[in-house]
Amino acid sequence: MTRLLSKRPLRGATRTDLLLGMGVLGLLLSVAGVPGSEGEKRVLEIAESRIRTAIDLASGLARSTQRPHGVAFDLATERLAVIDSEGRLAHDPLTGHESLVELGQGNLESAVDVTEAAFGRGGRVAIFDAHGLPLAGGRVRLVSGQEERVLTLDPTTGFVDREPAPETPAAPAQPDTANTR
Amino acid sequence: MPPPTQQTNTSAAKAAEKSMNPFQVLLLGGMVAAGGLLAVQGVIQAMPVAKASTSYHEAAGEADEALQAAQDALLQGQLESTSTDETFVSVRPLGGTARALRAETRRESGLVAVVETAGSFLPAPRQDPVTPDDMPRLLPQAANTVVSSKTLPVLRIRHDTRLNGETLHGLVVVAPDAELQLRDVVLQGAIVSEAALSEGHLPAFDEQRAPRVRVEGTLRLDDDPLLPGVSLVMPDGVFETGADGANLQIAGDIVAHDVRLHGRGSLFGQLASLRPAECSPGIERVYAGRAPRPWASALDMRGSHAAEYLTYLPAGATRWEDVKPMVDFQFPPKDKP
Repeated sequence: MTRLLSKRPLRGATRTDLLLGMGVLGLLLSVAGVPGSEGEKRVLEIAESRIRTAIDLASGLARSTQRPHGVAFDLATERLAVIDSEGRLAHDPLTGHESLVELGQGNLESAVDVTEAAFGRGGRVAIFDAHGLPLAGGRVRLVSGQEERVLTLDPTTGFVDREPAPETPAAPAQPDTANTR
Repeated sequence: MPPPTQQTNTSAAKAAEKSMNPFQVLLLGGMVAAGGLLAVQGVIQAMPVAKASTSYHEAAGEADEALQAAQDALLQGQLESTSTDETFVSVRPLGGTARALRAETRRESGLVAVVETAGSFLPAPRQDPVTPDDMPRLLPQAANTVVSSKTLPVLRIRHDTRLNGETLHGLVVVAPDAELQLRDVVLQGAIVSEAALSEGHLPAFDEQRAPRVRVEGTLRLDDDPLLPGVSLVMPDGVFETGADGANLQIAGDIVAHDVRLHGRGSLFGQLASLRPAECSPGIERVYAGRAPRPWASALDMRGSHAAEYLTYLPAGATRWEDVKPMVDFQFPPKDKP
């Protein structure tokens, strides 16, 4: 190797090489920057999906058993649980397992942070009555990196809605399509 | 002829000109990697599948909206079939009050999205039922068919009666003032009150005179082909289990003024009661909490419609005091397996 290299005449980088190198670096940085932001959004999408599923399950169980059920949030461990009227973990009728869900499960661990969960007198528990309707509305705030998402629970309909993101000067208004459970 | 050493030097110089130094190798590698990433991103964004998927979801959304509009129109008794430029909605009768709705959106590109549903779509009631007269009962033609049938025996219960360890086939008709006690009974057919067979106005509920079916031990109740999907229709009656509960296996819809079922088992059907039904969690209610299913076609729903809720419930039944254990819920430690 030393012999081979020693036979090559070494020459310095030209301006063209430098410009090309800087261009390539810029491209790589721009490409690498996108997955970071997209990844955070994806983490929030997955967490939102899990919350919607849990709320659907709690509401459905409340309606079918005619007993209150709820979704409790743990801000310290980023978990949620579907619970019955006795304050016990409910079982998912499809899987038979306890409905205890980690919002940052698997490779998303510690990627999502639940910074707020407030449902009136229910505190951190969204409670659904025997109709499957919430006793109180509320909101859950999720944060992943620079991304933030706020989900609201409508006190009348029980629909989960996504609160519009705070306005930024450059960001165009996005239609809110996630208004159904 | 040049000396060999000079020839060698010339070849080495040419080779050096053609080969690249490490910096150039890194530069080229970086360019190839960046180009590859951009190409992959471009390919993904331009993938026809992704575009087709978006188009499909848009079309399916339109079909779904049309279907919702058709359902609303049906509930107001206004629609048989309708269509727009790209979406066609059709309504197909399934017997009785049941209808199948199909919305189909066709794009010029040939893409087709179809959304279907089925249910008993009748005009929504002006208010929740308040008397037995508002409750579902058998359609007159269905009642006539079963009563005059030679294949389905009719057993009339006019006084308090106790059936123990029986296997029956037929239609059991319970008269007012009568109580039917069932213990370890298998019945293929249905239990109805006389009011369920009548076409006239039903009087207000009378707790003392109401026909009553009380179950102890085990009851297996399967619907009969003459009354498919119907297990018990007593809009003026009471359907309950004894003090010790019962083991129940019921296939078919249940309609009763009061329903109090305790014990274990399964209910494969829908449940309508005027007072809030008591149904033990141990009784599995198949399909409960799932999409609404059509009621039995032999039932006259009397203005009720598809069972979004499986029983009529009074509003405001849950108080904050009732849910204190839920508010106080503590998560198990995270390291719990």
